[in-house]
Amino acid sequence: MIRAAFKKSNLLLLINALVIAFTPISAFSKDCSYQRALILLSSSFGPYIDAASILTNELKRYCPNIEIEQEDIQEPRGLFFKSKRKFRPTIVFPIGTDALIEAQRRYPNSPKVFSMVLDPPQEAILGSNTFGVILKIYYEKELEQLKRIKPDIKTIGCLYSKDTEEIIKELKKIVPTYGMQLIAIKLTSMKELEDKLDDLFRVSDAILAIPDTVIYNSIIAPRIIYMSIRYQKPFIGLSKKFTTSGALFSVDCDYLKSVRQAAKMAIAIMNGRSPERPVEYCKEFTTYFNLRTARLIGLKMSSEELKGLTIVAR
Amino acid sequence: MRTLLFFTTIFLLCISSAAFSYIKGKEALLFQDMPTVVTASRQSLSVIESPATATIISREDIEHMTFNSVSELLRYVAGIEFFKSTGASFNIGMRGVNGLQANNVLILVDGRPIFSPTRNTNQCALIPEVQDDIERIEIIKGPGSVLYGSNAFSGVINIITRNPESLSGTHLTSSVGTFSNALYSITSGNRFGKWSYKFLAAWTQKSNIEDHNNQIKGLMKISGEAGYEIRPGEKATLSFGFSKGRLAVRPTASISSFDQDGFDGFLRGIYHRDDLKMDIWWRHFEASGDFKRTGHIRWRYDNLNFLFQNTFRTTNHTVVYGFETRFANLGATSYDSWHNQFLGSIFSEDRWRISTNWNLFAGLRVDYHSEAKFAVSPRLSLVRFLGSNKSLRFSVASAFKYPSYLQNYILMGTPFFSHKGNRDLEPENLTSIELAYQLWNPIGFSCTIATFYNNYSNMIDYDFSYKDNKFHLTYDNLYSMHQYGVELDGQYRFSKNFLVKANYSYVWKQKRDGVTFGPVPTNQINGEIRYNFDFGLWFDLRIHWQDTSECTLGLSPTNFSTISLRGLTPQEIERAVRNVKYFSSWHDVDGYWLGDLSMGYSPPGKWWKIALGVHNIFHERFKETSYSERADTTFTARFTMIF
Repeated sequence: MIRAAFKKSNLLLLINALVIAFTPISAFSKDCSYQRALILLSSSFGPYIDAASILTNELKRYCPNIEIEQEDIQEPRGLFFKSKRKFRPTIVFPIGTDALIEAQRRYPNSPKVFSMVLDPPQEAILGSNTFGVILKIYYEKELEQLKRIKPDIKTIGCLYSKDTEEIIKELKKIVPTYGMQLIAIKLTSMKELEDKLDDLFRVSDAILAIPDTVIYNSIIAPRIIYMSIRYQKPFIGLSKKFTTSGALFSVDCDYLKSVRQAAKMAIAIMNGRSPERPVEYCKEFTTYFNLRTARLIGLKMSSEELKGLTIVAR
Repeated sequence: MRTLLFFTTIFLLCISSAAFSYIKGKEALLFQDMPTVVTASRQSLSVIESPATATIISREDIEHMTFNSVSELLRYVAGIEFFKSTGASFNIGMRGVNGLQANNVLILVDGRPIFSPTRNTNQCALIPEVQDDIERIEIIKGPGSVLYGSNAFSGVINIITRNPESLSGTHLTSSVGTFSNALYSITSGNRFGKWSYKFLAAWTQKSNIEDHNNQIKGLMKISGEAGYEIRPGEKATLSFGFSKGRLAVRPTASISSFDQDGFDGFLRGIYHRDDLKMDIWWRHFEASGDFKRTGHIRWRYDNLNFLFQNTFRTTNHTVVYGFETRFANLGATSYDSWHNQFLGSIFSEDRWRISTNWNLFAGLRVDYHSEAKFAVSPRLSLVRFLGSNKSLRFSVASAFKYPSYLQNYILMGTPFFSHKGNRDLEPENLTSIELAYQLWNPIGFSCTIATFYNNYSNMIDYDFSYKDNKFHLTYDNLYSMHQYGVELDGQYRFSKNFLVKANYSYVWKQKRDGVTFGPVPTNQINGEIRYNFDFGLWFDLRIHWQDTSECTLGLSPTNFSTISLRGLTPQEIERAVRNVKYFSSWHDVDGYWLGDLSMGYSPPGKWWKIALGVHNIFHERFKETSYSERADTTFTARFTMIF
C-alpha cells in the first residue's frame, strides 16, 4: 500500500531523495554530541513510551552529551497548563503518525526522524528534512505464506472502508500475481457489518486484514476471528496480537528493532552523513502462526512446513 | 451559579486540547488488546460470548481506587453487596445473598480457591497479594459450580495476578492513611530468556474496631514465582505465598470474632501445555486465639489439591474437561477429633457453535464429598449474537455448597449448653435462571442488563432446641427460599481520557424468619466519573448509595456461651428464648451514601507515581451492619517507585 502510494508519486520522491542526498546537512557538525533532540510522542500509549525509551537509550549510547526532551502532543495546553520551557530542538523524533504530522506543522525546516508509523499520509513524509522508518504490512509475504500453507486457495476476501481504498487498489495488483482473486467488499456504514461479513466469508477462501481503523479494531476483529474459525477459513491478522487472539498467522515488523533502525539513521544524520534513502521500511519481521487455529480450521501442518514460523498459542 | 460557570469554563479551557481525542495513527491497530474473560468458561472468550454475566475490574480501575485492601476493590460492582464485618475484614455477597466473609461466593487467586473450609469463608485479607501485583479481577455472577464445584454459589471472583513480563521491574509502594491504615510493599518481576520470576513482600495494618483506639492488626505477606518456558505454549511454574500476623480473622464461628495469630500459606506447581493444565497446590492454615468465654482455641487444616484440565476442539465444539481432587485434614480444639476428608470431581462443558450467531454452552460437574456425598451441577447457556459487539443470553444453572467443617464436626459444650456438628447434612443448592443482554464497546457505550431468578433449597442453618434444662445447638438443612432481581450496568467513554460509569441493582428477597441472612439492600446505585490527562494526572470520583438493608442475624452464640457459663435461672431462660426470637427476625440496617475521591499523578516514562484518596466522604457515622463497623472518613496517600 505504501509502495503503491510511492509509485504514484515516484517522481516527487526521487526529487526529494536527490535533494537530500546532495544537500549537506548544515545543521550538524561531524560530532553528534551537543545536539538538542526532541522526542515527540503521539500519546502516552504504552508502545510509544517503549519506543521513546529505546530511542533515548540508543541516542545516549552513541551521543553521550546529547540533550533530550520528551513531549506528548496530547498534553493539555490550556490556561493553566503552560507549555514547557522554550526548547529549540536541532532534530525532532516523532513517534507515531500523529506526532509526525504535528512535527511537520511545528518544525517544517528542522530535520525529523520518525518511527512507529504505519501507513502515513503522503504529505507527512514528503516534507524536506524528513527521514524515518515505516512499519510495513508485508502483503507479499503474507500471500506467499498463505499459498504455501494452503495451495488450493483461489479467492481472498478483504473488508474495507473509504479510508482504505488505496490499499485495496494496491492489493488488486498484488493478489493476482499469486494466482488468487481479491474479493474486496466495501463497508459504507456499520449497520451493514453483519451482512457483509457473512457475504465475505461465504465467497472467500481466506480473509486478509488491512490497517483499517473502522473495521479491524478491538471490537470487530475478535468477531472476524470467531467467524473465521466458524467458517474454517484462514484469517491473516495484522500483528502478533491478532495471531495470539486466533488469527491463523501474521507477518509482523519487529517494531522495537525498527526504532533502533530509526535511531541509527538519526545518528548518521547527526554525524553529518546523508542516509541512502530518506524513508526506509522496517527490515526485520517475524511470521507468527497459531497452531491451534490451524487445527480448528482443519489444516494439517507437518513440522517441515512449520519451519521458520514462530508458533503462538491462543 | 456564576462561580460555577466560571470554574466550568476554566476547566474546559484547561482540558480542551486533550479531551475527545483518540489515537489517529493506524499503528495503534497493531498493538491493540482483544478483551477476553477466562473465568466464566475456563477458556478465553470475549465478554459478549461468555456463558455468564461478567464484570472486569481492570488494572487501571485498581490503580484508581487507592484502597489498601483487596476486598474494597469490589465495592462498586453491580450486584455485589459489600459490608464491613470488622475494620479489616468484609462481608461480600452477590445477587441478594450475603453472609459472613463472602461465604456464598468462591474467590480464586489465579484459579486457586482461597476459601476456608472451616466455615466456607473467603478471607481476602489473608491473600498474599497486593494491588501492585493484580492485573485484573473477573467477577462472574450467578452459579459457577459447573466448572468450579462447591462454594461457586452465587458467583465467582477470580483475582488474576500480573505476569512477570508485565511487571518488568521492581515496584516499591508505601501507602499510608488515617487510623493506622498502611500498606508497604515491594513487588518485583521480570523475564530473562526462557526464565521468569516474581517476588512480593508486603506489610499491611489496619485499625480493627470502630473507634480506632489503637487496636492495630498487622500482617506480613510474602509470595514468589519462578517460571520456565519449555517452548511457546508450554510452561512450568512454581509458586509459593504466605501471610502471617494478627488479624481479626473469623475462621470458625461468631464467638471467635477476636484478633488471632494466623498463618495462611501455599505451595503450588503448574504445568501448561497449550490447553492442557495440571495444577497441584498444598495449603496450610492455622490460627489461634484466647477467648473470654471459651479459653484458648487453636485450629488448623491442610489441603492437597490437584487439578487436571484440558480442551478438546472440533469444528463446532470446544469441550473443556477435567478432574479435581482434594485431600483435607482438619483439627481444632473445639472439634471432636482430627478429620480427613476427600473430595473428588469430574467436569466438562461444551461450547457448541450451532451457527454463526448461536452458541450453546452445555456443562455438567459431579462432585463427591466424604460426608455430604454426591452433588451434581449442570449448566445450559444459550447465547445469541445480535451484532458484532452485542449478545442476548439465556442461562439455566445449578450450584451447590458443601457443609463447612464446623457444620459437620464441631463439638463443644458445658453442662448447660451443647454445640454439635451434623454429619448427615446435605449440600445447599441453588438453581438460577438468567436472561442477559450485553453490549461491549470499550471505546464508546457498553452495558449489561441482567435479570435473574434464584431458588435456594437445603439451606443449612442453626437448629436450636431447649430440653432437659440445656440448650442444644446443631445444624440442619432447614429451609428453602427464592429471590429475583435486575442489574443495569453501563459505561460511556466520551474520549480516551474521560470515562463515566453507573450501575443499579435491585433484588427482591423472600423473607423467612428463623434463618440467618446477611444484610442485603433492595436497591443499590454506584456511579463513577474518571478523567485522565495525557500527561499523567488523573481524577476519579465514585459514589455509592444503598437503601435500607434487610437482614437477620440468626442465633447469637455469644448469648449461649454467656448463659452456659453461668448456669440458667428461669429468668435467664426466658431472656435467652426472647433473644433467639429477636436475632432470628428480619430487621433493617439504615441506607446510606458513600463517596470516594482519588487523584494521582503517573507521569509517562517516569520512575515514580503518586495517588491520594479520600474515602467515605459523606461521613455520617453510619454502621455498615447492625452488629459491626462504622465508616469514618479516611485519607490515603500512596507513593510508588518503579525501577
